Amino acid sequence: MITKKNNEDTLAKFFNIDSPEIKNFTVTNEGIVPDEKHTPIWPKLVESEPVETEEMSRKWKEIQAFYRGDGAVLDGKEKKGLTPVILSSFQEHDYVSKDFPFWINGNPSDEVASKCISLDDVLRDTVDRFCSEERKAKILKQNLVRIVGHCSKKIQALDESVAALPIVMEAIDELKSKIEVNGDDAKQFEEDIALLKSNFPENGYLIPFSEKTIYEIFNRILNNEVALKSTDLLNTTKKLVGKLNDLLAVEREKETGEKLSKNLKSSIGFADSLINIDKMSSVNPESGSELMTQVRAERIKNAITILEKGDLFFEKKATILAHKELYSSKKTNLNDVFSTSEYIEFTDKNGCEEAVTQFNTSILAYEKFISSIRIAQLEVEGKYIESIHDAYFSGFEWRMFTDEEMACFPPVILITELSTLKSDELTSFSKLMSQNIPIKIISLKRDSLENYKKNGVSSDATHFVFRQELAAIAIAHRNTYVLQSSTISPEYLFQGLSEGLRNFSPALFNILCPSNVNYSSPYMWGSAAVESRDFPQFKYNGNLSSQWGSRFDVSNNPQTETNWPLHSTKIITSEDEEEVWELPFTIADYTFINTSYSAHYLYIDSKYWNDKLIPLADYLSLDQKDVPSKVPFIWVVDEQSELQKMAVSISIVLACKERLDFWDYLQENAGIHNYHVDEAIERERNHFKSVSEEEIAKVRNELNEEIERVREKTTEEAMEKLTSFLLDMDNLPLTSAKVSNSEVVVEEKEEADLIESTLEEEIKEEKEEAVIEEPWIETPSCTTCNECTDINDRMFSYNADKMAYVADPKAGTFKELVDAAVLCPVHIIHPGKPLNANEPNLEELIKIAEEYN
Amino acid sequence: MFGLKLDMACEIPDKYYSLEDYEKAEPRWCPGCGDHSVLTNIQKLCREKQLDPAKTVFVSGIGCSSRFPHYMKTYGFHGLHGRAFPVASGIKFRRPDLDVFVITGDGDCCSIGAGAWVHAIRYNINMTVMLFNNEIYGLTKNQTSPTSRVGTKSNTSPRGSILPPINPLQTTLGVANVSFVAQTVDWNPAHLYATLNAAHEHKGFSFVHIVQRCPVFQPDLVDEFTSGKDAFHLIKNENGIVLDEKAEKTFKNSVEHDHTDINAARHLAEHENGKFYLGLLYQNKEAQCYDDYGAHNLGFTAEQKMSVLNEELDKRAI
Repeated sequence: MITKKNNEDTLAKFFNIDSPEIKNFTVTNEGIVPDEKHTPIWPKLVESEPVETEEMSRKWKEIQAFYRGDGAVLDGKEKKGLTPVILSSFQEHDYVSKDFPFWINGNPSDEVASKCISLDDVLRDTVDRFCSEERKAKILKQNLVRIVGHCSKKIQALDESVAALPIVMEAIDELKSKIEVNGDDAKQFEEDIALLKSNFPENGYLIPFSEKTIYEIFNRILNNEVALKSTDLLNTTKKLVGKLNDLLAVEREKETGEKLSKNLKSSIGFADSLINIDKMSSVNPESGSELMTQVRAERIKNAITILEKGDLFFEKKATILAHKELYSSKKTNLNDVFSTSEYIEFTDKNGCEEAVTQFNTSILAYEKFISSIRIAQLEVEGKYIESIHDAYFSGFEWRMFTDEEMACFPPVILITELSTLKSDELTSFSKLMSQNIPIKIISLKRDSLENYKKNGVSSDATHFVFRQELAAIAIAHRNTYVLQSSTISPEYLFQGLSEGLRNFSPALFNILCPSNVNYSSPYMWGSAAVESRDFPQFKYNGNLSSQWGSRFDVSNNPQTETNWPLHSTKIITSEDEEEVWELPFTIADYTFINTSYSAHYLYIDSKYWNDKLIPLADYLSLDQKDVPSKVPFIWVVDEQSELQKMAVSISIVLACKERLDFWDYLQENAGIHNYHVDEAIERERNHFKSVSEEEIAKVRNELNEEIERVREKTTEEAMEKLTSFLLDMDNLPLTSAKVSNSEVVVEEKEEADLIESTLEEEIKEEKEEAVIEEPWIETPSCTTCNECTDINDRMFSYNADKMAYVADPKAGTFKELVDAAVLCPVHIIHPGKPLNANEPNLEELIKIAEEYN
Repeated sequence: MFGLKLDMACEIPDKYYSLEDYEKAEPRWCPGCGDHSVLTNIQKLCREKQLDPAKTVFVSGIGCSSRFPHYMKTYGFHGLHGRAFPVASGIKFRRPDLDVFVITGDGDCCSIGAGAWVHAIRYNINMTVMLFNNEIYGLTKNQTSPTSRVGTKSNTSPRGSILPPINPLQTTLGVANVSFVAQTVDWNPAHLYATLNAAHEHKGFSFVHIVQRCPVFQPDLVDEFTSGKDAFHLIKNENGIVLDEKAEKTFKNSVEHDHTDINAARHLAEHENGKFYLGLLYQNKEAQCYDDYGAHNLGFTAEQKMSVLNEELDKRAI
């Protein structure tokens, strides 16, 4: 508000020495205000004068006591409002994009690889399919993010998977109504919208991010994969049943008597009035071939009975066993999610045993079904040998299935909590894995860190234990499939789950499911868990090959080569200069966002900063002898975007070491920084170094000797030549050299002339070829000067970029074309040849046109 | 962060501006005039950057090219002869949220407006300046301009002009605090666009010298150039104005140049041996911008502004 009256004050408002650089503004009811949202605020380093030595030493004792866990000494400033530096830029949710909602193809016959991608990618792929050099769909591409945004809002509110097409179409219509585009661009935009609508894949589902995501994905996989496989198997079954029935029909044909004459009559059809059927049947042999045995007929009939009921096996896509307490928010019953499967809830903590019982029950009928298929195949081909096959089929069980046969079996799935498996069910879990029963277990991790002491500072390291890595325990059983993934990377999860389901071995899917029940921003928490190596993602496939290294995949982790992922962050120093820091994201940064661990962090005021406080990542790589005098810290930012240091306790340091240890285990298995490989490389490198040094020395010696020898020889020859030159001028070799040189020059010149003439001819030919009969304009060079459009605006027109092209060569005369070519200031109009042979003065016009063609 | 990325594109305006949103009235320049080309490329630039027409201002003086603001559907100010710079500086100083473009001709800028021009360079206020130089007074029907070459025959010098012309590039490069000097031609749309784009990106007084012909009074000027392509050299520097491969091929000759070296820039600006160097001649991103020191008056309502203005006027009332 301007309230002051005197001259200086009113005019002083016009100048402000300290006014910062202002880039963006927003118009509000209050007037125009700087738009802070668009101006990134970089963390600022504010240092203050260090305190006196005495106070520093007092404080340092406190800090060390905190580090050892002797009790937290909170200093003035509360931890509230502080965020790890790397996370601070992700606080504003509006500007953070993620893979959700994502789209799953609902058409089971398509390739698996293209079945799950983010909606954003589906839209971009669809647009790219109809884009070309001419159709760039620029406006649509710029606004696809709106379609995703609309769908995201809609689907997040519904909190369940829905068919994609109606929602996407609605979002497209919404975009069309919301965005104002005029003129040529509007026409283009409408066409692009129509193309997007007609090209968007029909069968698909959109999945939102929620604690239900894992169930939704899994249910879609069951519906797609199992449905696809079972359809194939049922088709085969139907064919076999048909063939078996044919066999029985032939058998019936072999019967004699009245029936035969009747059959003969029906086989002849309308001609039966011409033939005496009874007489004819009397001359036929009494029986055609031997009848099948009663046992065989029974076997075939049995097989037919079982195979005809094959559909029943696939009425349910799977058998799902889930603990009653599993779905924490209770908004939806899991029974609804898995409506196409058999859903069984259990209450006791005996999930693994329950799953084995369930498997043994349902596999029995399926064993019979598969054995019937095999019997049918042998019977149809006439290869069933009772002496061999009777015994084989009497002992037939599921372990004799092929991979394909097992893949069709509606799987038995156990869904349970990770903590339950690790505590109450560890023995039965291990037993299940070792028995090699292809039961698939989904274990859900929904809480933060494990094992670290909560609510209080640990006084020593005794609270610290090495985490039971359930995935690693499963790997120890070797013939297993293990996926450790998070719902925040749906594509990886989708692929892993599909692969695990297809595998003829027990599978453990250890899934991190961040839910908004425990966290205000679950997605961020999930992201931080993977980023900090607390929950690394990986796959292990014991069936892949006998070589261990090939079974591991850790590629879906950030910066797999490093200990901690490094982030480049811009910082404003205390001298107001910009610097780029490389900051690691560690377990300490991850636990910092969980208030349960607040006692493990101590705010250090900048007046107490000294050399002994060192960044955590550096601290971890210190030599043991240097450790005692140092205390580690992490960088955080406060609400004023100022950088602060938080010292961390020994518990967190140990947690970091423990997590790094597991990360090393995964890295080495996946072939990253493998100890043996590194050793071997070093050994070979040293070996090659010494060998090559020897070689070089040898070659150098030989070379020196050779140089010496040549030098002596040349001196000798030179002396000889000089002598002969002085004695006999006719022997001078220089003359002949001169002649030969000039010959070479002449030859080179001729060759050059030849090349040049050939080139000229080629250019001439090209030019001749380039004369096109149709008139055309070099549109990209048009300067929009209106010369041509003023002559004839139907013949010449402007494109969406306001550059001229020949719209209709027949809309005017050849004279107009030639006039335009002559007038065009940049000479880009090429009139071609006349289209109307009866036009007056054509000869003259063609002559002028030649110059511009 | 794993699975997350910062995406400023998440927030986008509801209106998409197309070429038509920047077009107004049928330009009354002669057919074949290069002004059409500059106009189209500026409209394309506005569309590309999705500049809000309500937050964009074109300011001009007097001359053929100065009719430019009439053909843009944005704010515009067709000012006094030679006074485009003071008006534009005032606008930008008070309303830093606006995108300011200045259109001036060889007469408007290099003759009557020369004083304002020199000081505008020195103040280095953030605006994009286009000098349309066709080396003739076209609007007033063929008089010699300060940039006409020696020997140019016109109504004011029927036997050919005597004085050597002003070199607008050299003049600009000679003023203290100069921050951006580039040269382009109206008949190469790709280069023209790239140059205007670079000028708009630059924070400060971005001076673009556009070499033109007048199809009516200097029709041979451009013919000389198009038929003598040897005269034009493309300035290449990966941090300067970069053309795509196709557009680069339209130039027969090119030269590497460090646009932070003002002496090298002055050398190129001299057109020695009739050579024209097209591209970014000089740029200094560190030059002081006078508009950084304004309080901008932002956050004040129209009524408050009016009251201050009336207060000031009242003090001087007789």
